[in-house]
Amino acid sequence: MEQVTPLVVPQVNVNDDTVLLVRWSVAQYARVAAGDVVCEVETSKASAEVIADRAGVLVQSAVPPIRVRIGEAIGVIGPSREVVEAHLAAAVPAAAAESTITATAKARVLAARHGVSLDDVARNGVHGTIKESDVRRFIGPPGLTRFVEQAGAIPAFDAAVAANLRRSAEHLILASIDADCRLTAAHAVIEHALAAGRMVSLLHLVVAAAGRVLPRFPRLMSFAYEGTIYRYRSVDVAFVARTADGRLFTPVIRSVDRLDVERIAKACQAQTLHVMRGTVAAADLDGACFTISHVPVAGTRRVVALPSFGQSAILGVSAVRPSLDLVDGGLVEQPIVTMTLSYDHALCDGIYAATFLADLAGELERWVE
Amino acid sequence: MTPVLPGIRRCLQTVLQLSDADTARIGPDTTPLAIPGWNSLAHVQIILELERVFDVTFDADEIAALASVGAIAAALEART
Repeated sequence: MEQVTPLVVPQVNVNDDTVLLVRWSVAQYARVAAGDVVCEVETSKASAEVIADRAGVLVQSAVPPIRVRIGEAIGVIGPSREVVEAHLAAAVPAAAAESTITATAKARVLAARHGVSLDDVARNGVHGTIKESDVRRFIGPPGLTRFVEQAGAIPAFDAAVAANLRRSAEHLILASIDADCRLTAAHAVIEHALAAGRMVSLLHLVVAAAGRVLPRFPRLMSFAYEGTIYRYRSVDVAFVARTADGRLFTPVIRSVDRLDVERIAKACQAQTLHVMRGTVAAADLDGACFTISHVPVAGTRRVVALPSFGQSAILGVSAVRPSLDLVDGGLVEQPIVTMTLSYDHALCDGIYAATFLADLAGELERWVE
Repeated sequence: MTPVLPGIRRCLQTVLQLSDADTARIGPDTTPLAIPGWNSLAHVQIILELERVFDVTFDADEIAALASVGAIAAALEART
């Protein structure tokens, strides 16, 4: 096998047994020359540079900032990344060969780089072949393991929601803009409906208002994907509904531009009941062009939400709060909310987003059946 | 008094955390407007509590029209 040598921490100060690895000066898997500075360390009295004693590809095994012992290996230098990783995989203790544990090559390399036993990883609750992510989970967050402890796995449902948002974030240039909206007219509509025994809420009115306004803002009904703009054919709007145990769903109300507020209220209530019962249909969660998230928790002034994958915008609606406004020379208390539009700046700019919000607020402030 | 009214009162008291005095004032004409906290989310929770207590199931499409004690009572009595 071609020569692979460890990069060890040199003795910088005779009084120190350890140094602080401050930062790497080269990237992971960088090709270095003999004499190149590869990282910075700090002793109790000074900082120093560590140089490579031979040429080759450097595979780092320590993540700064971290305190390391003098003479400890913080990386390996070899002729190529492949050779180094093969060396590391082969260097896994013989126990690995005797063990019945199976692990992917990447998992073995990572375990070797961190001096971790695959048996220990397996005992940590891994079933089947150990993967790189299992080793990474066992090792813990770089640089923070001294301060934290594991508090359980992310629930599968939450992980799926996060995966959707992460996938969306990869395609978005996210920006946000706010507008306040006075609710005197909207509250009159709600009170009239409630007095008549019909459940209508602010969320239902906002969905209805979005149905009226969105068709004039087609870029907010579109999304960008791999250089192409895709536009939704109908004004299907989702709203965020939360189960008693905190799971978030976004049921979709179809063609809200063709529904009056009472039919929207009826549809929203029905979908919320399905969510709470756990009977929401998968088909009712797909295909929205836009989402509304109302967070009516008292004191919430701004809701910056993240668009789902396949959407370029989401409207966050705050809790209702009183506002003192100057009307006809006198101070008048009015209920208001702050509406926050989070949008993809690749598709629309701040003026476009602000105009949408102004039109939406206008619909709510001058509600006409 | 409708025979289901006491049960409806108990459900509203449980979900909306009403005092005994406020609960006693609930009658067939009571609507969400008269009770703080009876909003659209609480309404769904009330429906679920009614389903549990009375062992009935409401149609999802009808619940928006059940936003008064009288309407709830009528819907329950039609099922029992």
